[in-house]
Amino acid sequence: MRFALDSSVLVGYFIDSDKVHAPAVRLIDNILDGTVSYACVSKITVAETGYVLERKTNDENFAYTCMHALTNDLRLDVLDLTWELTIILSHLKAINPVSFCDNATITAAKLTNSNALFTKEKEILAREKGKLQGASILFLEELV
Amino acid sequence: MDDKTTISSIRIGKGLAEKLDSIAKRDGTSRVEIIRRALEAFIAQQLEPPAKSAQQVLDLVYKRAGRKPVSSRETSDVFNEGYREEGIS
Repeated sequence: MRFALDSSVLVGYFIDSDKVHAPAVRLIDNILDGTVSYACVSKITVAETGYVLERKTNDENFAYTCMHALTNDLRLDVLDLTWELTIILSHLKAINPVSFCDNATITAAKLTNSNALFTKEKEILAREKGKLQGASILFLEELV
Repeated sequence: MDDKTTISSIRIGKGLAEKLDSIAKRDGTSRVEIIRRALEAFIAQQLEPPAKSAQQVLDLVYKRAGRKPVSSRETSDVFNEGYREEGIS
């Protein structure tokens, strides 16, 4: 399986009291041991993960440390804001009724021929899933 | 200079120099000492063996951050707040 990870998955991984922490840890283990063949994040997702962690914990340093770890320690392909990513993201935001960062995850999935992986903590995304274009949407809670 | 030290000169921007001086003043030390500490911390981090499990990475994060975080809000609340800020509901 190939995944573009959303911030909702990454926040769940870094906070051990989070509802999706256990499945997020299993996913990261599968990425580190090679069971998951490919996983990526866009740098926009890195930023979103940081702001959500800072608001959850009121700790800017912790958020920064997590952003550093996810770009350096988790063996994820971290996608730069290239021109190709920029124009795909622009179009997807125009047609998909979800946030800019949600569309950044879908864009990363489209660019890398992966599935966009979210959690149901993003309630609006879960509600709008059927309308979204660009890539297959999966939820961490539904992975076997 | 003794036989256990060497001089390594570097050119740095004025902005970075000002930040170094500010930290040095706060800590009651010198710009050189701050650079030395930063290099030692960076090299120690680079030499850490790559983590083999999700829990090892988390343990590294908690160690680097100096504490395990306490979450004060539900994740869904933070995301919904972000959606509202973007005018999506």
